Amino acid sequence: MTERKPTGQVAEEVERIALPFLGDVSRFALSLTRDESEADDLVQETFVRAMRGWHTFEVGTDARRWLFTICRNAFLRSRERSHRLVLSEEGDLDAMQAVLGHVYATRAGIGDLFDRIDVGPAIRKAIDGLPEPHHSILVLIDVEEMKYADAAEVLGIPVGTVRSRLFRARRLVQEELIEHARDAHLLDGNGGRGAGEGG
Amino acid sequence: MIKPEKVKFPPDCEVVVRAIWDYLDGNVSADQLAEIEDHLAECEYCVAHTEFERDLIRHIKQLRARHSDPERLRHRVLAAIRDAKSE
Ligand SMILES: [Zn+2]
Repeated sequence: MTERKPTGQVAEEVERIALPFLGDVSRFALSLTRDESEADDLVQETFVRAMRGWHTFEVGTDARRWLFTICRNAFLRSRERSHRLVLSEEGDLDAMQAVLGHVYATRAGIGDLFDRIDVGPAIRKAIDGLPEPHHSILVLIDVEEMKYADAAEVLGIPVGTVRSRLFRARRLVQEELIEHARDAHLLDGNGGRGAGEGG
Repeated sequence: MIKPEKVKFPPDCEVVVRAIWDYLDGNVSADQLAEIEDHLAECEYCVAHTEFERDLIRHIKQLRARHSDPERLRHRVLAAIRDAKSE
């Protein structure tokens, strides 16, 4: 066992080593809770737990990853999520969606969609609607720019699972965006290029 | 409903369609990369698709949440750290 450090020294180390990641933890908490005041409570809880568990942190390792893990665990415990929205891994469906995504992207004039409308709100809505852990995976990797392996550690799941769920999450966001564009009549549902062919 | 026979693109589009995220994330082997880039050099659809997905990820990245008052949060957390007892 390592020697326990006095509280004053722990506080000094937490301030020096962990606190610089406050912004990162705050953003992550916000993405988990989607509510700022709840997120602030979670951030405080994360740093208090970091204080208590500081003897388990190996100085020199990735403090951000360590804090994110604490944050996510604290979040899950605070939620007691009775209904866990977990998508099954439907390989065939995924493959089909990939192909459909390709068809729309290439045929329906979606290429310049990002230039034509403010897609931010639609993307935000799609991300907010993602089930866990797809939501966390997308946030960690695409927003926080974490490596697959680090996200896997934060979430306690294998890297292969991170990868397949990340891809699924992106596809869901993409579909939502395409749906949004179609509702706004920005797309030709049949795909521009093939429409009117062979009558 | 989309009928499969109506969906026509060169069959080797599959190399891009299947590996598109790994490609964009930089997780493909040198061989795979060469195969994908060869295909992209001659397939405008896959170029469009790849650019679309790249743009999508770029837009997702831009949605980083912003705290309304980071200074207040910092003070609060700092106070909590100083109040807390380590174990
Ligand atoms: Zn192609």
